[in-house]
Amino acid sequence: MKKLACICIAASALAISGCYSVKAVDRAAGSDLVSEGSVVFARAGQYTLWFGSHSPREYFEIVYERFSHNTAGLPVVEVGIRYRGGVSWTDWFREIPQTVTLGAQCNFYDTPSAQAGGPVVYSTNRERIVFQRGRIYEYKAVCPVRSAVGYQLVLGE
Amino acid sequence: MNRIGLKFIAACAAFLAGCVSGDLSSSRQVDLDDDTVDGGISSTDIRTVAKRMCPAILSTPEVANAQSQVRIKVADVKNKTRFFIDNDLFLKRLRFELNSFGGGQVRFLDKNEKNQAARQEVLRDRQVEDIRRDVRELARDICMSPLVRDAKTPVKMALIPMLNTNLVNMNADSIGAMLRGEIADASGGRVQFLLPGHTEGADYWLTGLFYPESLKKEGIVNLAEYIDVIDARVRDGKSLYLDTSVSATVSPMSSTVTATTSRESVLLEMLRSPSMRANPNIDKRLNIMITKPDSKLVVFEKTMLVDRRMTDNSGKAALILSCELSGLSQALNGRQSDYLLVSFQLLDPESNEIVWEGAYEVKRVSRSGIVYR
Repeated sequence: MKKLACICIAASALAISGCYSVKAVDRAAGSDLVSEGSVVFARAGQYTLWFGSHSPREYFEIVYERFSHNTAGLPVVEVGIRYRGGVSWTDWFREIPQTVTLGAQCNFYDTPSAQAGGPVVYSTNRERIVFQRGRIYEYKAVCPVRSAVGYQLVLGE
Repeated sequence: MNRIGLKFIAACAAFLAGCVSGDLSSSRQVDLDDDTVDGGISSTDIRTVAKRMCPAILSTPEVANAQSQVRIKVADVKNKTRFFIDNDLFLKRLRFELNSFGGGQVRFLDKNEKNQAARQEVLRDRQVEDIRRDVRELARDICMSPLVRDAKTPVKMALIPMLNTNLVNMNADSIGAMLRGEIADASGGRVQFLLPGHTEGADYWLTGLFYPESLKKEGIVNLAEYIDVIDARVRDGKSLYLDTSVSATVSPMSSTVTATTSRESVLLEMLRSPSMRANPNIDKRLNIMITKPDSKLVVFEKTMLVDRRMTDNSGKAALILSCELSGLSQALNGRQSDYLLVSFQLLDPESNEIVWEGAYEVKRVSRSGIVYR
C-alpha cells in the first residue's frame, strides 16, 4: 500500500510538472558572453565521441582582423579568413573538399562588444562565401549606422 | 493490488503523454538567405547586393558631403540575363535599405504609376483651392489700387472675354466670373460691373490673357489684333464673343470690312483647330489686365498661375541611379552554369560623369530546369 502511494505521488508530481503552460528559458551567462570573440563560428551540427567535433572552425584561421572607419565616417570591418584544409589526423581517412561554402553574417552594436548585450543596430544578411583551400578570403562589411562601435562576425554552415 | 497499481501507472503515463506538446510541424517558411533551389538568382543575391551597395552609396563624397538631402532619380533596370525576374527587385531592395539606414541623407523620386495618379489627384485638388485664394487676393489688390481707391465715384467696369480661352483649353469664363464676384465683394460698392456683353459707359475693361510657359507655338493670339477685332465688332453692334459655331463670311463690300472679317476668319480657324485645343503639360498663367477703353492703355495688370505643369520633379534630382544585370550562361549535358554580374552606377546629370560604380558577381552551377527565356 505504501509503495502504491509512493508511486501515485511520484506519478502525480511528474504529471503536474508537465502541465505548465509556459516555462522559463535559460539566459546566456554574462561570463559566457564575455569570453565570446568578435569572430565566431556557429556550433557544429555533428559531434563524435572520439574523432572530434569536425566543427568548421577547425579548418579555418583568421589571418587578420581590423575595425576602422572609412572616409565617410562609417564603421568598416575587414577580416581575412583562410581555409586550411584538413589539419587533424582523422582527416587522413577522408577526402577534404577543395572548396567549402559558409554563411557569414556581421552584426554591429552600439556597445564596444557584443558581450555587453543589447540589440544590434545593423546586421548584414547571411551571405554565402565560397572558400578555396589555401586562399585568403577578404571579408568586408560596412555599417551605414555611424553609432556602431562594436561588431561580431558569425560564420557557420 | 499489482494489477490495480499497473493500471494506475498506465493511466498516469497516458495522462503525462497528454501534457507533453506534440512534435512541431515542419514549417514551410524558410530563412530569407537560404537557397532552396540550386542555380539562378536567389533572394540571397538580392539581399547581399542591397547590404553591400547601401553603405557604398552613402560613402560616396557626393552623398556623404552633401549639405542637404540628395535626391536620386532611378533609371530603368536593364536585364540582360536569361532569368525571368522582376527587373526592379534589386533597386527596390536597395532603396528600402537606403531609406531605412540612410539617416534621411538620400531621397528617391517616385515613379510608380499608381502613386503618380494619386499624386496628380491631390495636386489638382489643391490647385482649385489655390486658384480661389489667388482670385480673392487679386480682387483685393484691384480694390486697393489707386484707380479704385482714389476714384471719387464708383468705378464702372466691363468684363470682356479673356484671350486664349480655348487655345489652351482653359475655362476662363469661370475665372472671369469668380474674379468679378470677388471684386464686387471686396470693393464694397466702389466697383460696379456692366452686364456681360455690354461695354458702353464703362470706365475700364477687365480682361485677361492666358499664356503657356513654353517656347513652342501653342497658339497664342496677338493681343492687339484681338482687341482690334473686338473693337470693330462692338462698333458694328455685334457681340463681343467670336462665335466658333458661326463661320465668318467675307463681304464683297468695303476693304475695311473685308480686312476685319478676314482677321476674324483667322482667329476662328485657330479657335476651331484641334491641335490648338490640346492641353499641353506646361505651366499656364493668366495675366489679368484693366484697360482704358479709349486709349487701350493697361492701367493695372497682375499674373496668376491657373494650371501647373504635372512633373515628377526630375529636375531636382542631384544624381541618377541605374542598374544593369548581365550574365554569362553555359550549358552541357544537363548542367548549367551561370555567371551573374549586377552593376550599379551613380550618374551626375549635369556633367554626365559616373561618380560611383559598384558591382556584385556570383557564379552558380545547376541542373537545367530553371525558368529561362
